[in-house]
Amino acid sequence: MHGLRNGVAVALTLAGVLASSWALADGVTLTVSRWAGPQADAQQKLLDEYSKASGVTVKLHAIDYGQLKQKQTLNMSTKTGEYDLIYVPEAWFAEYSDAGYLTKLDDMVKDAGLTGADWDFADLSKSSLAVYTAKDGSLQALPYFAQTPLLVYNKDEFAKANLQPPKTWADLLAAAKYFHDHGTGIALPFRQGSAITNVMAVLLAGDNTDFFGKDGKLNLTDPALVETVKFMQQLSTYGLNGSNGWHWDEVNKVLQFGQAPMGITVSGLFTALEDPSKSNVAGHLGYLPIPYNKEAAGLLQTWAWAVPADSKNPKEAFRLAAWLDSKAGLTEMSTADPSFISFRASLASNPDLAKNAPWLAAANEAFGKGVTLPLQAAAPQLLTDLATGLSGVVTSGTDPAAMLADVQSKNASKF
Amino acid sequence: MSTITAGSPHVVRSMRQQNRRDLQLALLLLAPAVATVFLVMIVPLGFALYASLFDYKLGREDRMVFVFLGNYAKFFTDPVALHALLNTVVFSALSLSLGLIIGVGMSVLLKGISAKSANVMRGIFAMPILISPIIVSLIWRYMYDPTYGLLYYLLGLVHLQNFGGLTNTLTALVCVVVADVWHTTPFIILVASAGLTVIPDDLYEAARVDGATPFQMLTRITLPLLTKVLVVITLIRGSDAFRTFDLVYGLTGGGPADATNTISLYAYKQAFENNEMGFGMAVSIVTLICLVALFGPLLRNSATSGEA
Repeated sequence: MHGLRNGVAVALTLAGVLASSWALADGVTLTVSRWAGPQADAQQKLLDEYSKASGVTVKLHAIDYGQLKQKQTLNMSTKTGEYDLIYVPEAWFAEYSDAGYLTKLDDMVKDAGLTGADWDFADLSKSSLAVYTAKDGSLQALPYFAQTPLLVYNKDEFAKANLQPPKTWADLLAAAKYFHDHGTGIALPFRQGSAITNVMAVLLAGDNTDFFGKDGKLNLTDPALVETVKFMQQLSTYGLNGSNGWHWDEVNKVLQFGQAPMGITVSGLFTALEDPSKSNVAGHLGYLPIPYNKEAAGLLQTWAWAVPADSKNPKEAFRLAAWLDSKAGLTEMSTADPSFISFRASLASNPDLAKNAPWLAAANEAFGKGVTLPLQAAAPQLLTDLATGLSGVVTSGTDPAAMLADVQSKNASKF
Repeated sequence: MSTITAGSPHVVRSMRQQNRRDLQLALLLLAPAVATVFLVMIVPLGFALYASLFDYKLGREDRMVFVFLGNYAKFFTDPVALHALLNTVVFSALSLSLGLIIGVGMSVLLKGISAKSANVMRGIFAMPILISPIIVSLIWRYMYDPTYGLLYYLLGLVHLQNFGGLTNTLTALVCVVVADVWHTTPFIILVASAGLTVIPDDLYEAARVDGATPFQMLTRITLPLLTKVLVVITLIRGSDAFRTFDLVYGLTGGGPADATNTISLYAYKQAFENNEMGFGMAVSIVTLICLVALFGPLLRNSATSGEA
């Protein structure tokens, strides 16, 4: 009953936001580009609501993440005008912004005729706005969704083993060793790819260190980084069989089916873990920031809405983005997909959302010291080399110091 | 009355006009196909060759910097690139060899059973080829998983559950080869089976009367008469294996530690993940040159033997 009342309240607020802002814009068609998946399905429902209320036709082009950047770049570089609103992660923002692909939003965010009554710009996290501010100081995207890798553990398994949920590296190694000695282990996303470098970034932040020194130069041979990679190597020896070939999805699956007592996976996939129709362990899982050496940290993996410079309907596109990013829009999205975490401070402690998202407190604690992966132009090659090197460390026992020195020598001159 | 004979100037002129009209008609009918080939193959290839001479990032066509053969030099001095090339050669050789042995072997065996049974079996064996490569990679990714894969369950029954699989640098490439052979051998079976139908049965009858063993019949009759078919299979399968991308991308992403990194995957990562489109194009041109060097002689030999 409580949930139904809340749902009705959100829907009425959404409709009110639309009605208060503008006259119905019949005849306009907007095309939205984002990655496909459960979140896109939830988004489609919101967009259908928007279409009905506003008269604007909204088409959603949800495609595989692997092809998304190429598609967006090709369209914007050739100025096809195909997309009116694009979903942009922090990793691509600098490239898009430098190429002049995006519309500046500074005037639009102050225009009450476009933003609607439920806007409250000050409620959006300043650090997330900074991520999407270009070199010239202009805001060029509205931060929308955040995710971070977290530790997920099975409370029943831990209680049976008489173990406390791990907070530090030592705790984590002890727990992982215990479970490994008893036939399972920790589920890790240590396949050669982005996940292993994401985990490394969180561990570095939790050790108060970084890929770069204070002078901005690449600093992979710092003893703290060597220590971090040695920790990853040691942890991998207690990994569940096959972990060295898993990405986030596989880790999520073994947690979901109760095959892993704990694992590191990304918050954007958590909905399935607590869905009783999909999970064998719904209601039995606990969530914590990834265990740290000095303090809890997280990875700011963010996505934002941007209006391409070649959009034929920039104001209508921004109006849609503002509606999606309004308190009501974000609440509805989080209700439809509990793993959806937004950048609004007022929603971070919403008890109704937290009820369906038991990981919210852990995610907020991790975001409190959230870092991004390197965003410089030369960063993709660095991260590729690190992913390859880390894969060698965990599968073949490559010496961490030698690996880091090798990656350092290949990439230092580019930063 | 004047008589028109075959060699008369009037007849010759008329034949020439007819030939010219035939040629014009042929060119006219060929024009759409040639234009299509030109637009979808030659033009992109030309652009790739052009772009490979530049430091070029996608979407920054206005900021291309001419580096001449700099991208090619970068390829041949990058240990990762050379390792990918080596992996590709090893993968292609293993996949092609295994495919030929299993495919031709099965075709020969199927020829020896009743036609009805052979047709049913051929249909069943051909099924993997109907699955798209990316789905094949997902199927085998789960098959190879040590925790919940079928293969490890079966290996566990014979106490081989510690097999390295996709997470060991020594065994990962072999595992990818196995998945590729499973997917592509049906093509070899179908083509080889078609090739076997033109070998006269009389030759086998005569060989049996002379006391030849099955192995002798295989090596002295079947394989020699199947040579042209084998050349075609080698050409098609070999070049496909050399350019394999989706299977590796889905199965391992090139890991662990670049143990399964191939030249196509390397080109893709450089072009689309590292945004080095010019360099990616150069890698693709190198791939083309390798393919021409490896398989060009086969094409030439098959063309000249056709003329003979």
